[in-house]
Amino acid sequence: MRAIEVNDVWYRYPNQKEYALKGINFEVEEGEKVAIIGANGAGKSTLLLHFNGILKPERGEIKIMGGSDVKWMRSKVGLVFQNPDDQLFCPTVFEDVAFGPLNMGLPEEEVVKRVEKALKAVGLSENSGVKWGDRAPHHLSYGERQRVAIATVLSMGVDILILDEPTSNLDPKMRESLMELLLTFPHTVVVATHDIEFAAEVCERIVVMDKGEIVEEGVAERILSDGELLKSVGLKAPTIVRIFEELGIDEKPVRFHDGVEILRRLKQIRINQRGEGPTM
Amino acid sequence: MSIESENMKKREMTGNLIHRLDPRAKLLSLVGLLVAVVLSNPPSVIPQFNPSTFFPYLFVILLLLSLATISKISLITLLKRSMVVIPFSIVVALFLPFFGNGDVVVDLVFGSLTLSSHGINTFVGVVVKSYVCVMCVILLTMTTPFPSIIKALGWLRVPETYLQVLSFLYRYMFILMEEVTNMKRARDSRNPNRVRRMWYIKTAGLIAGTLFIRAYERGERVYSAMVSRGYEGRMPSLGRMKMGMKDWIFMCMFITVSAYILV
Repeated sequence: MRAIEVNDVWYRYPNQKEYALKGINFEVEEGEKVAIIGANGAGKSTLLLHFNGILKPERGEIKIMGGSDVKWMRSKVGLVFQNPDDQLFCPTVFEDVAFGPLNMGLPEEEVVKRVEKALKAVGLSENSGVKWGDRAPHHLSYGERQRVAIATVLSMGVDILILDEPTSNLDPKMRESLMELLLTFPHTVVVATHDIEFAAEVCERIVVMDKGEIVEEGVAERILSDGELLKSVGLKAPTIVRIFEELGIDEKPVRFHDGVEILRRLKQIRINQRGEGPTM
Repeated sequence: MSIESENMKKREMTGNLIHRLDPRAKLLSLVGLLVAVVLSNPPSVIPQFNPSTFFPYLFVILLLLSLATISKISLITLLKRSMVVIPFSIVVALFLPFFGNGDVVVDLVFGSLTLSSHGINTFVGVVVKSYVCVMCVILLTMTTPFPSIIKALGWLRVPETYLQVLSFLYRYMFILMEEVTNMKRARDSRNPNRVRRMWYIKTAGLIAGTLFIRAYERGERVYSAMVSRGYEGRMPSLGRMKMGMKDWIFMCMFITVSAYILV
């Protein structure tokens, strides 16, 4: 079954002439990790808000796991907002993570179990000696708050995780650990970002948006190595791609480790050649 | 931030007797005492100074101070913080001596502006009572984490909307304060050398306006975050409060004290 199906979706904000989304069509398979990339104002966030029924398309339809009922959508899709301070509105972490499950009408023991599980899944388990549940969101660091924000939707038992610009305020270390965290999740993940390297490391498939339209979509290796395409929508290819382009090497790896692998190979070839051929 | 560090302390001190009491017991006891203090007869200063009419208030202050000692709260902090209300209560009560019937004690302007004994007694009563009441409330807030107070208020059937607003205030106060600080910094870093008062007043207005718009927009975003997690107008909560023996004892103690004050 398809996790997300978007059929010819048009949307414009109230009192606006210009459409923010102009006939969006795309699909996400179950378990897939997809990045929606595009410059600021390309319509990424607007599209994400549709997956949860917060915005409703003017034309077209959206199906989540085959259904388009708002309640169904919200029980399947977990939306993590860009700023964790918008996502965390309860006085304590526990209440915030329990908010979703309680609204779903689950019994208390089940809620408590789910909160513990969700906090553990984002690496904030009670075993570490800190009572995360009792802490107030404004006492947490930005990275911790973002983890709690992810936990608040995990506790609802969602199948699809949607993240809006998850790396925009993270320092390199937190960004790295978010990357590792997302890779451990079995969920279908959709990330809207302009952090190209992050998209390359986490996602198999890339959707490029510009001015409310999908310009191109495909596997990460093809899209992200296409410097021209990315430039035309106001983005830049990953550094590793640009290095290879600059050196005139045919291969264009998009992930850091793939690039290193190729360079290592080339280095080995050169050493071998030097050993065999006449020395200068 | 001082409030934050205080909250940390509250969490650390959960092993303490007063801190551990059920928030409902604390709230009911202290509010009960507060009502009793407000309804009690004012002390008598004029025409005859009667120290015994002050005893109930002294007794309550001593009780609150001893509770504070048990909870390892600094007495000086408690006394000092309660002082906050004094300027307000004096301003509010300032005109009381001029009204009210009773025998005229001082005649300021040939019978048209007079101070009455009843008025003066009421004035003293208002100031003393407000101090004691504020002390009650401060003791409550110093020994109870804010979320627990809200929970207790919810159990007492305080309207849900009001409590939601309160808890949002508590959650976002620090963020708004941070935003103000940032805006002030941005303003001061572009400050011309000569500081004019008018300039400050004008920019303060701009900051307030911007803060309002930002808060409004944040509100929209928070609301969509709530809706996307199934919010339908009610804040769900887990009932994890339990009234134990010591809570009942604590409440009985306060009811007795309140009755003593009223009589």
